[in-house]
Amino acid sequence: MKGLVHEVASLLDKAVTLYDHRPEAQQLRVTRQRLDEPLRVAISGKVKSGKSTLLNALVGEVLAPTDAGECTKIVTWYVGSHTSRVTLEPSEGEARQVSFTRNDGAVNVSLKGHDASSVRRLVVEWPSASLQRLTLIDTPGIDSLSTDVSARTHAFLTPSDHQDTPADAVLYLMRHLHASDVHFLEAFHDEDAAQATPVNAIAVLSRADEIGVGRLDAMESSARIADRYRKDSQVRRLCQTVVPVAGLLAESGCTLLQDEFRAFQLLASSPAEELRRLLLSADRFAMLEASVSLDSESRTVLLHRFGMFGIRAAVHLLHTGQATAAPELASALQRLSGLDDLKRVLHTQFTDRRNVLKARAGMAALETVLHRTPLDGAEQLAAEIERVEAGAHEIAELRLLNALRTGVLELPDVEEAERLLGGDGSQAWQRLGLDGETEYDELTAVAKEAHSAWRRRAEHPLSTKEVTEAASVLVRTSEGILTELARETLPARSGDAQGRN
Amino acid sequence: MTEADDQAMSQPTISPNRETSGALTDALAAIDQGLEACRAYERLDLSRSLEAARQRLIDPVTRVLVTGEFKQGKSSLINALLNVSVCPVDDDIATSVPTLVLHAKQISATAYYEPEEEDGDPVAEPLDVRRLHDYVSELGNPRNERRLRLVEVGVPRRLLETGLSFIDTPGVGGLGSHYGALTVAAIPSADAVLMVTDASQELTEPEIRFLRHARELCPNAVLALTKTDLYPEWRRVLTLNKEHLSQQGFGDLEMIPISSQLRMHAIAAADPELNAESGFGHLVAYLYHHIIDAAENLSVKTAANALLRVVSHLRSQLETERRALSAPEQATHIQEELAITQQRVERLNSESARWQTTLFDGITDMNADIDHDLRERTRQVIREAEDRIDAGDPVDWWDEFDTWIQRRIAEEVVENYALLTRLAEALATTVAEHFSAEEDIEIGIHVEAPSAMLSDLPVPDTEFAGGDKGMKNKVMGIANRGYTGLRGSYGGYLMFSMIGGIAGVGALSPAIMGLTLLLGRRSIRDEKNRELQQRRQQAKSSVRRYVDEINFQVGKSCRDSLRDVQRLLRDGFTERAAEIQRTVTDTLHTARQAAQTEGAEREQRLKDVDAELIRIRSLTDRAGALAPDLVEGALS
Repeated sequence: MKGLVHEVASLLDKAVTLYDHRPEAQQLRVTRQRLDEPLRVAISGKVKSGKSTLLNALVGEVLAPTDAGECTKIVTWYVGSHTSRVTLEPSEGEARQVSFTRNDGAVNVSLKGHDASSVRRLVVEWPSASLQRLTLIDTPGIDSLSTDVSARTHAFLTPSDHQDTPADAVLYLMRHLHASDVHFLEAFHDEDAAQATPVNAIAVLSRADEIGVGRLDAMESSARIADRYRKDSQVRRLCQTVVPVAGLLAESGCTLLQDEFRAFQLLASSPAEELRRLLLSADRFAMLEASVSLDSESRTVLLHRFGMFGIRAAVHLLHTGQATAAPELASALQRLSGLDDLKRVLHTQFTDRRNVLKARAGMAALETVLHRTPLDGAEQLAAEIERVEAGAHEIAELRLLNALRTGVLELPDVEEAERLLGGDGSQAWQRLGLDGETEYDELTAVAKEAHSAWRRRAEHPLSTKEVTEAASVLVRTSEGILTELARETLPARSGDAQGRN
Repeated sequence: MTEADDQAMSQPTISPNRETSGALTDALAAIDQGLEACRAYERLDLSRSLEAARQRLIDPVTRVLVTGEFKQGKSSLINALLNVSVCPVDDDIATSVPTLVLHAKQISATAYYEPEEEDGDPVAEPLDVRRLHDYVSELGNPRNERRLRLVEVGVPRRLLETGLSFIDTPGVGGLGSHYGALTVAAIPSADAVLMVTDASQELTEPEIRFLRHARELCPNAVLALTKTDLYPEWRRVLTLNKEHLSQQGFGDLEMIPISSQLRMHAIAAADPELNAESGFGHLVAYLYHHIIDAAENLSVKTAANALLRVVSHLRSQLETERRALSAPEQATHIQEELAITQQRVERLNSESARWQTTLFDGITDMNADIDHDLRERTRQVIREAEDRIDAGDPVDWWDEFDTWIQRRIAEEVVENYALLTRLAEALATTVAEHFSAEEDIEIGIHVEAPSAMLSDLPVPDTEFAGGDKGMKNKVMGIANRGYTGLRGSYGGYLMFSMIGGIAGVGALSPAIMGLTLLLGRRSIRDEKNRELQQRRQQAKSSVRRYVDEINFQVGKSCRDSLRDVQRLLRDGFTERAAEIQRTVTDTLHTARQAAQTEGAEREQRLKDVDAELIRIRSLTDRAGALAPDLVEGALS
């Protein structure tokens, strides 16, 4: 697999030499450099869908400022680094380092003399283990009443003049599906297939606790809704999967303090009737004179951190004995918030596939340059791209997965085919639809079965040309799985499926 | 907590009629006296508008359209307000069919299905209230596949006995969506719009855009900020929203923070303190003071206005008779004067009358303007569509494209509809002014504010007046077209509401909004082996065919609407002219009789006429007392 990235890297190096001293060179260098960087995940969605909150939860630290009003007005990158600093890139002029303060942890940047509309982006470099693996990009919302803010998000996510989309993958936060959500996701399709496609977008049903108006069973309710969306053909064509997340709870869950745990303990030990009165509404919780040993001020703080749902859930977890110490409560809340599920999906869907995505994005960017500015020698490079692309089975897989997802191609066993292509994750057991503990023999048997079934389909005289081609890709995929299984020593099956070439 | 609120909260069962307000009783008594006068003077032709006004007084209908984006808590609000569970509420599933909640002696439900034929009557069928979920929600009735037009739920609630009713609508989903278009079409027939937005975030751009349209079509609007129990920061959101509203020029709109959850808890626990926290007290107070009272005021004013007009006919006849009786030497002069007036009145009735010309030309111009506007708009959509087609390969996104183009078309048709409504209202005003100028200057019978003129145009019985049946016809009738009701109101509004009800609603009908691109996804995929260029060509011609069809259908529906508007105005004013004609003829007759009366008989008649005039004067005063602002200038 590394091979593919290497090949693309060397193509890009050649292109940089070819376009030396031309304006395109800089862009090519950036594209080249990007192959070595962590995956870039943009978090986008409508205004107030909880983008910054989710970003903080993914980092595991409160970095992005969050607020009841519209908050993020500038596209902000969060990049892993050894030191912490913030760079401001104006739309015109030189980038420069700016000072920042921390307000309850959140990084507040002083724009000094810059209007939000004249800033192209902010780059926050921060020492964080999570950011070493992923670069996260926070975007302003869509459908903002400040049309400027909306426009900046659109410009960032769907660049107009065939620029390279800056994100490798997109987490699209939606609340409940709205007409304009679909409209927005569909904008990803305007660009060439290398940009956002169903294989690199994940929809997050955000603020999931609020769908069930903060009731204790709210998350179950939102899981049902996410499930329905997942099966919706229109949504399937736009993104990989749909994951419900209660952002605020996720953020606070992974930063739960010992003091907060003690506050929850005090609450949980209050008389039942008092507690019931308190938990009726946010106003009551914050302001009611009550004979609980937690004063109104502390309750207000708790409310802001966890929300009504978080508080109800924490009290319930303590009452039922499911959590007895702070770390237990923290992880229970995180699990409840859906953050764990989202991280798992990110890992299986993006991290495993990042090299293919990156290589593919690199090739697409290179193709655009070659096409727009056809210098002598460009044609030869274009031919090489074609060769690399044709040789890379991962790309064929991704393309087929895309075609199946978008419904351009229809196969009878579409679910099995998508899974085999890595739709649910790229580990052998995931591709075969088995569980992680399955024994080698069974894995091999299932893989062999898949192999011969797709071979029959590929060779069937009545299959159309498209089906034959698709089946051939799947035959090769099953061969790859078998090779990988044979190479592995039992019981360790952690080898990256992408490494099988 | 207001008293009314308390009642609504603690007396969920049948309660006695709300104390009829003094003004209503007075108006009713005055109208009855007016009707008696019509009979006494054998002027039954004048009694029609009085009958209509009377109907409004005894059976008021005030419709509140509850709108907003998906999942903002519209149904919960209605349920909590009325302490009843008639609008299904679910975390996931949204309302898919409009539900009309109104007063009934006991809880009941009726489904109205789309008729088989295009112009047929909807088919009514009683429903089990417990099964409402299966009919009005996306779960039981996805995309309204049962083809329901409306579900009507009757509940015994004191608040509703005032004639107040609520229409729970499917979430708007953006102005351009299917439901958005239907909701917009229903707005002109509502007395008030209650827009629901939750406290999780500030008002968004689509919400403000929707509000702008709603306000244009129905000025009486109010916002509810819901779910305040869940969001600690709701006060911030409230403040931010108010700022947004005043920036958008809607600073006068009220926004009432409420929590349906708390209201339900409050009712269950009979806890007045909790009910106060729920904010519903304010909402109920608003409904009483700004919606129900406003509707009552309008009914009273409409009654006063109708009465004043009848009285002015009778008075002018009596006054002329008195002149003829008291000054016999002027008898010939008076008769000559009346003969001239009679000729003028005939002219008012003829097709060359200025108001007739204005109406005819106005409709012709409007036809052209509306058609031009529509074509201009759809041409723009074609341009955008072609740009999109040229930017990619239709195979990749044909289905999304189909959704997109329908939404764009719906947006433009809604705008076109708003224009039609605006122009129709402007035309009605101009025609009324011209009519009243002619009537006024040339005939000198009676001065009346032009807007007042419109209010008591005779209304077609089948749709606008009459009892329950008429009402129902109206609800179901106007249009295959969504859900409309009698927007009872004063002055120009009554007229405008009729126009609103008629104008262009057909263009927003499900039949038209449901048109799709003729070229399916499958067929464009079959084309995929061909050249990209050819595929694009195919896609473009499909778009053009679709837009042609839209132009044709919407254009036809607009022409039909305009024809209805024309007929309504023409018939209305012709009837007015006929009334005037009758008055002038009668007056001429009495003037001739007066000239022939002599001696003691004349003295006696003079006394009688004076007595009659006193009676008429007292009726005028009664009417004037009902609506003092109406009388200024009109009766001086």
